[in-house]
Amino acid sequence: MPRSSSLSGADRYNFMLALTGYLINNRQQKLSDLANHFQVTEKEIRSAVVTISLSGVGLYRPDELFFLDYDLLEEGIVDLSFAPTLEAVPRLSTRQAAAIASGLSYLMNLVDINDQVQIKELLEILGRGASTTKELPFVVQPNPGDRDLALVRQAVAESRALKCSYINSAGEITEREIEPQLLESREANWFLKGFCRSNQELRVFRLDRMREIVLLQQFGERELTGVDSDHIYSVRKSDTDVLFEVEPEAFALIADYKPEFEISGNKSVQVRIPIGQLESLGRIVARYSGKVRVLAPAEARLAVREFAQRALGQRRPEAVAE
Amino acid sequence: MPEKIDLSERLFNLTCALLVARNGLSKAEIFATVQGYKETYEPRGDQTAINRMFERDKTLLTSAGIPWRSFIPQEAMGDNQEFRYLIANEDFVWPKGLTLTSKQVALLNLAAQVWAKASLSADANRAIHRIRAMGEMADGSSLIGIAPRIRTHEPCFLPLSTAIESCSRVSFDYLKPGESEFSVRNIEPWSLQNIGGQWLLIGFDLDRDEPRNFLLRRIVSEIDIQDVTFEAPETGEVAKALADLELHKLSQNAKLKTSTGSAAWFHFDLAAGQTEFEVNFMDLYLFAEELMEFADEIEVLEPQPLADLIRANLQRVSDLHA
Repeated sequence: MPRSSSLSGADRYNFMLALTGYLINNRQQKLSDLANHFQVTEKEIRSAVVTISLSGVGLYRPDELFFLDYDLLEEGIVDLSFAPTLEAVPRLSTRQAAAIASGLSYLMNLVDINDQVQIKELLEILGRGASTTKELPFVVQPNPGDRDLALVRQAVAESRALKCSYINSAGEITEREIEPQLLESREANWFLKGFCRSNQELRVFRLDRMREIVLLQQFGERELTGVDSDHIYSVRKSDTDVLFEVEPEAFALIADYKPEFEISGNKSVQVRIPIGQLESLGRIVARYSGKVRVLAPAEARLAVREFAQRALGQRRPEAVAE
Repeated sequence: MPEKIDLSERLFNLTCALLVARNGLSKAEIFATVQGYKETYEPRGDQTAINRMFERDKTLLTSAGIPWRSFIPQEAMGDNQEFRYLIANEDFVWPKGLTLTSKQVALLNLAAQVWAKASLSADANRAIHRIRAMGEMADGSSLIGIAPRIRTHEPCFLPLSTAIESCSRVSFDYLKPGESEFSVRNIEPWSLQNIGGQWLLIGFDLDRDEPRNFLLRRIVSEIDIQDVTFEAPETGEVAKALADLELHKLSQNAKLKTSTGSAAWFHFDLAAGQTEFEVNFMDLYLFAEELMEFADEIEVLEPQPLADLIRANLQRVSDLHA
């Protein structure tokens, strides 16, 4: 679906270069097809081709480099012709190539063996297609992933339900039947959003809390909301609004639970996040080893303290440092 | 009055002009003929502003991966040594004969989405426009339902990436875990690496006179990019640093114990009845944090420093919530 945002500055410049390259090889294109192909609005395409056609270039007169058929444009058809000097699509900038290459290598363990071959080929192409011979400035090492990742991935791709043994944040183990919708990741962790047949609602499952996964039959269409949202967890009325103080080193917590919160600078921030089960709060906060502090409400602070105390109590006596 | 030309149009015109001019253009020729310049150019007037604009545009072209060249023509070796500028077509376009399949385009699209709203999403989207310009439509039927995400919430990510690209020295304050005072580091930055979800800077530490690794989340100041450049590391230096890191990980081993049916037992994929297990780790502090959410159900058999660290972390969490 074409996006509505309008392009400007470096984005529009980049788009005009790309569009020019495309139109060289593809004469007489429908505006609507172009909008669909590039995922931008028809208005954006129209504005870009007009700008391109008006480009006076160097010592040339405008229409010596580009010619736009305005009559056809009125009918919604873009036909731009070119002087033979501009031949094709520009290669990627170093940062563009690094961004795409990193994304590909992150996907490596998520896709099937055929796609892995394709990814290796693409990484090689990106190496040649970037406008630099230096090493890329940043690289993502393939995620070792979860042992069950491939199986869950297959279930999502084939719209098949799955059965598994699941341990929730309260430590209860149950058998679940899930209709998987979306497989998401946050750094090294994988999450599955899906319709839980046992609870008859959309739930989020952590892959590292699943075991003994078995694929079942294909499932039918189901009307669900909230599958594609940026939040891993959806907010419920019964959630407790918890006020956190977060040090910069623990900003990942905010990215996980409140992605819309703008993080900037190097100072601690206070943020309110709705939490479903306070029993699980201790685990969440403990992970950041003191760089996240719960300020309110009192029962949330107590839940964290109880978790820490319980864990301290179960340490072996000889492990005590004193 | 001519209409005001915006940045994207000026850059586009400049790019076309430099591509078309086989013998290059001098600055005066660019200013006199290229739209976006010629409107304000006065050959006998003050050129400070227009020169500054040209310098800025050259930087923008470079960061967009459009490799311009400058040279002094042989025949002008006399006293009139004026630079001429051009963009060579072979630097500009993708390698000849390169085509992408619809499956590959789908993978590239997904790779771009990995950045979601992270700081590289703009670059990833620009790359996708250039990739779509190659013509092929995406066939992603088997990739529906995956939303992998890489995050870069560390504010130092982009400045470091920029410094790596331009081979500029940097300095920053670094807080080593277990220390209360930060230290100033002077580094030749080589590469950013995402390993297991953590961003790591590999670079040459000028004070310690050897390559060192830095966790981005432990950088506690802004990045000071200095006006001193260095020679890019030789091929293989980064790979060697990575291999050293992997060796280091293999040498660090923890023996842990948990109970069957615990969340840790699920997380570490232990076999039925298995309670003791071993894990290799890269960084003691990071590994302690990873274990914190299981702190109430895991016993660290060795090494002792890991057990002590978890205990100290728990004590801090408890104290902070008293």
